[in-house]
Amino acid sequence: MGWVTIEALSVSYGDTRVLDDVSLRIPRGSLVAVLGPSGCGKTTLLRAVAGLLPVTAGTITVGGRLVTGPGVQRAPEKRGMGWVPQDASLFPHLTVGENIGFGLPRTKQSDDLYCEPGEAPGGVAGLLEGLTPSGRMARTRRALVRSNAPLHASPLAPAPISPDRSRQNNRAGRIAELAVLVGLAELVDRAPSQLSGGQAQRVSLARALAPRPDLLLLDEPFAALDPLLRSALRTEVAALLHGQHNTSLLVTHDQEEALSLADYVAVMRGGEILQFGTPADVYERPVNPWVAGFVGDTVELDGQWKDGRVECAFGVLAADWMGAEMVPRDGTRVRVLLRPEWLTLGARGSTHPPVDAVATAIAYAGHDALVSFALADPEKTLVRARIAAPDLPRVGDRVTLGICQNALAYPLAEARAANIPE
Amino acid sequence: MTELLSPPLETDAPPPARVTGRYRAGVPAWLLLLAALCAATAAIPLVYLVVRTTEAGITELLDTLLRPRVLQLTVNTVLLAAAVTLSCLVLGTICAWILTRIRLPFQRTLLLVSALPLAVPSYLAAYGWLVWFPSLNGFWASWLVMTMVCTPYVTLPVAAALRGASADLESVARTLGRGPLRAFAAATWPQIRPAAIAGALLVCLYSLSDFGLVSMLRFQTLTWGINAAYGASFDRNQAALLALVLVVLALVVVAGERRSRRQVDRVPGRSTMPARAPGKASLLYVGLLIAAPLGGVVVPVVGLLSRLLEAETLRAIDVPRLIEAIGATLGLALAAAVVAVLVALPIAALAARYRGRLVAAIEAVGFLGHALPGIVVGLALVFFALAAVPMFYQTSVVLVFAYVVLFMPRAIGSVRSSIAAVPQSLGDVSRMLGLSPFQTWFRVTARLALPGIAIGALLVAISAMKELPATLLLRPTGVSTLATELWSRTALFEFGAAAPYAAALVLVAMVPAVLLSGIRGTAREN
Repeated sequence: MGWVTIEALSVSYGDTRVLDDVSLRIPRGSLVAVLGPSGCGKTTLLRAVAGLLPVTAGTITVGGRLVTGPGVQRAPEKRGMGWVPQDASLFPHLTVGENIGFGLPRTKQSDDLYCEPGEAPGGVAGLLEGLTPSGRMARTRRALVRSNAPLHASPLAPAPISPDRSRQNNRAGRIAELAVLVGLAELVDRAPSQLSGGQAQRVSLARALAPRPDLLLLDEPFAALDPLLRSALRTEVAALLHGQHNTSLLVTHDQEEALSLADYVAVMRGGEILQFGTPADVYERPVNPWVAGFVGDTVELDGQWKDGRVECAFGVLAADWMGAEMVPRDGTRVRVLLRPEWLTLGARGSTHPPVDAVATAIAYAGHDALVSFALADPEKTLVRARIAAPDLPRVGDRVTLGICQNALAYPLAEARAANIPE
Repeated sequence: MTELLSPPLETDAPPPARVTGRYRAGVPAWLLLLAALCAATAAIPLVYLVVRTTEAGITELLDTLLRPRVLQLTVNTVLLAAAVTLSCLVLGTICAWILTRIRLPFQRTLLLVSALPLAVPSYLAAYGWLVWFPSLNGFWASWLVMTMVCTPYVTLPVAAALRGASADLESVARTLGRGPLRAFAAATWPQIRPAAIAGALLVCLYSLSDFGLVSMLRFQTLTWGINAAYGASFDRNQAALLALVLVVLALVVVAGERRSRRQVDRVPGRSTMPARAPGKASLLYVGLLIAAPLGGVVVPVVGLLSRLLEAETLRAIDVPRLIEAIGATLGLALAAAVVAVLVALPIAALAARYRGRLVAAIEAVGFLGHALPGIVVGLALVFFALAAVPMFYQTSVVLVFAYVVLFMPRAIGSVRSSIAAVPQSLGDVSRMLGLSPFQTWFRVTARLALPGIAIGALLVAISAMKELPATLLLRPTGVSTLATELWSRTALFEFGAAAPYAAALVLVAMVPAVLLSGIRGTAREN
């Protein structure tokens, strides 16, 4: 049983079905990425979980609490979830610190009038302090010092967890703690317009984390950043979320992001979840050729099934049957699928006698290259292999290709479609 | 930058980018109901006018309609509107082209200057010309002054469109062998045509609805006829009928304007064209540019000042009366601003966040006042107050209500765009952080939209201070505003006595308008 359970969720908009019978379980403390092309309904799924749009059918429970179900539609503000939108969406009229503290309750205990004994500036000055922005800032800074947080802590450093619970409930203290956590302690009194894209996204994350949500929802949070910053920030955020033992649901169309960040990946298409599994599962054992192509490069060949092997342009390969039905009869035509990096130059590491091939084109990418080879079969079938840079052949070179992993065999969609009318 | 000198241009701006969330929860019923109620108030004058006219019976209606007098007034109105529209279209487009394509010194100042005539109420311009040429009257005089006052309605949107138009297209046309003029006609004109036509139709609407200028210059149009028939008071049916004819004309124009505004296809491309050096023709360019400000602002204001500073005038100023008029003007305008913004808020909030036929219909009804000439609203509310709420007849309540109906569109426009400018995602974030919809509205949406709401109120106040015909018809006995004092003195050819009121009007209404547009312009540049 997951911490967050989504059961048979459907969302329709007019006649269009945007989400169709989606079920998903998110284990506590894990990061689940929903991966899909744009328009597949992944953002709709996120908004439905957040309660920002009504669902047609299905239930959502978080930590045993029903938040969406038949006759139940909890308001977004009563779900205890955090939300990090694509464009950071900081409140432009508030400082960074006030943004982070936006979701923290302003009770008498924790709000501006709160001061620890001995530290209060006292009297009217102390009362006034809470009423002016600069006074509030000063208090935030004092709280920062109190929590002994290093001002320039690396964002990768584990969260300073204060032993004193009362201090954690202190609003200013919590703001300071989060500012340190995302590495922006020195920017708490800045206006959002003075931040860079990456900084704004961190503040947005800190703001969502501040009220300690049961579930954090991230809507393509890195999509608007430039590529260099994107990869740096997402590693950082993944480490941070794991460090906080947060349960998170991330939506993205970037397969690299999903595979590198998430504990589990759900691949979505056309409002349905096609596959749910660990990143390695999804990449190495995709449920169908579309998923395979969406999460990475593929080599696709036609072949014939023959007792645990397939016969194709490479000769006879050891293969795993990936169809939903029973293992097919021998002689059935199948689709054979490999990853370019499963092909090796020469027999090294190969589980299969190498075959002859000629390099016909090279797409150079620095660290490695995708090399197209023409095989020796009568059709001169083209395959692509990912070859590490030092071993690169030249166009026209004759080489031998080995295969280091079992091929995947899928039923032919065409064949299935042809069978239906009969 | 100056489109706010006159609020109606606000509606020329492209409709605010609506929120992108595709699957949005439905409209809350209470908001829909509230907005519909608020919009309904704007429909009262028109609905009542139709009811009142049809009460007279169809035969009498047709009978009156076909009287030569009515036909003459209609023809006069249409002729004047058409002539002014055409001249404004030509002059405004040329001015816009000069402003955006020629490298003249003090470019931003020139832009501000060419927008200035919008701040001048038409009757004030007419007064200024009459001070210089007391014998001025008739069609050509009305045409000239009206053209000067209305040209910016074309200049500003066309200049904005020219600045946004892709200059690459024109360069492509040139490389394909077109001459400069043909390249402009083939590549650039189609891009600015919607803006030019929308501006021209706005000019048309204003010359149709104008009362003060044509009355002072003694050219008999429908507005003049309505006032005369109402003043004669034995035949109020005729006044109602004339008002109905005028409304039909105005609605046709507004419908055309709305249509023309929709057909903009944006062509992506670099929008800045290297402005060419003026060369020998620079005097001609500057002359064309300042023709409208000269005729619409400088001539009247200098005329006004020359009269004001005459010793005789200064001695005769009735200070208590002047102060009383200023107080009445400000008080009425303030009340109108507050009420108009309150009424506009639900409509604007609805239109900024939701779509759909019902929403569009509610917004359109809210904008009805934009199409209604002031004199028509005034007349309809006289009838309405007498028939439905006699205890309010000839009180400030009805007058403020008339201002609200007339100028609510300005408040809706400003408030709607400022609410729409608050990203919906901020609201989502606020909800996800535990704030209820109402807390979110006050702490995020309204807080961020506040400047726009304040500007909406200011726009209404400025317009209300300048409004003449509705004030004339509806003011409580004994209450005079600056506009009515100016009008009644000019009508008696007491130009000197009118001068202090004109000067006060310039100070309380025009100066804030110019400042406001300047502030907004700077804010936008930054």
